[in-house]
Amino acid sequence: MHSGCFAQYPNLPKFLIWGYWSSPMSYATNSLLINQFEGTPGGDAYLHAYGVQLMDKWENLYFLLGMLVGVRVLTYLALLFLQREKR
Amino acid sequence: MYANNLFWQLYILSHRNIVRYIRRPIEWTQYVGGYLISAVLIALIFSDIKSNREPQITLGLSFMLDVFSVFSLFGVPTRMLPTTTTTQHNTLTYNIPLPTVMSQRLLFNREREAGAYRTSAFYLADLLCRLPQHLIAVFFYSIIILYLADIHGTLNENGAFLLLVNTVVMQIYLGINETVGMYSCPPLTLISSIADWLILGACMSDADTAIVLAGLINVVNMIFR
Repeated sequence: MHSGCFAQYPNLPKFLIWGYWSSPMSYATNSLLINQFEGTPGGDAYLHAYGVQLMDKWENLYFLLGMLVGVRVLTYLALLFLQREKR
Repeated sequence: MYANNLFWQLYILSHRNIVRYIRRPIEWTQYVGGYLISAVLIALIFSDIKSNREPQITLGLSFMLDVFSVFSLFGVPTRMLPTTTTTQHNTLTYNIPLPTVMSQRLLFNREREAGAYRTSAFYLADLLCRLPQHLIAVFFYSIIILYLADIHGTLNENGAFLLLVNTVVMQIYLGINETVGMYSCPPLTLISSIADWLILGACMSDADTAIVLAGLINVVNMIFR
């Protein structure tokens, strides 16, 4: 809903900005668009107009990797500490 | 103290997982099948992208690449699968396979309490054994789209990056799926679902209502913003 496809970053209401920054989908879409348009004729202007080029594509990927590590650690902690059977 | 070291535990658990996958191939073939079907659908939708290289179309394609890579996790329609291997999570006609860490939770708890292996060995073995099927699925997904949707011309030198992003996105949503399932609590469900309209799925009691409501909010957002 607010990953940058239906409503682009510059047009997002302020109260929905958190959704944009917390969405893995927005980082993924941004990185793919930068991958596609960066350096092409008119591509940079398009990226700027849609508020895409706030970070480069590798920075977007680092955020995605950080989220990946985060959810994996949460799952591991759940395995470690939750629902441990008592003897 | 454990009777065996971490690497031996990892080997034994990985071997057990591989045997399980061989005996029940439906557990991994539906991931791969879902991805291949999604790739063909996207390729058909965007097959004319080269002659219509408008930014909006490319934006749509980039978004759909990620969206379909997430929806592919739901596998193929229920009617095509034996219902014994999956658990019906919602009222839609899709089955969401339970993550291994959840489906084997009871077994894991008992074996660990008996001192059979470490938690890290179990989790690592699970991750390692599922990685090949995910990589195969994402690889063919990306390759089919790159060539059938005819975008390889512009993504030729950056196709590997697209593959990498798709892989990471798939792993993230698999991880979110597992995390939500493991904690099974509304606050965490909300936190991990804030990504998209999935937050509605976390708030609603059934998926059909969530999807309808998400569509309505989307339409209102597009009309009145």
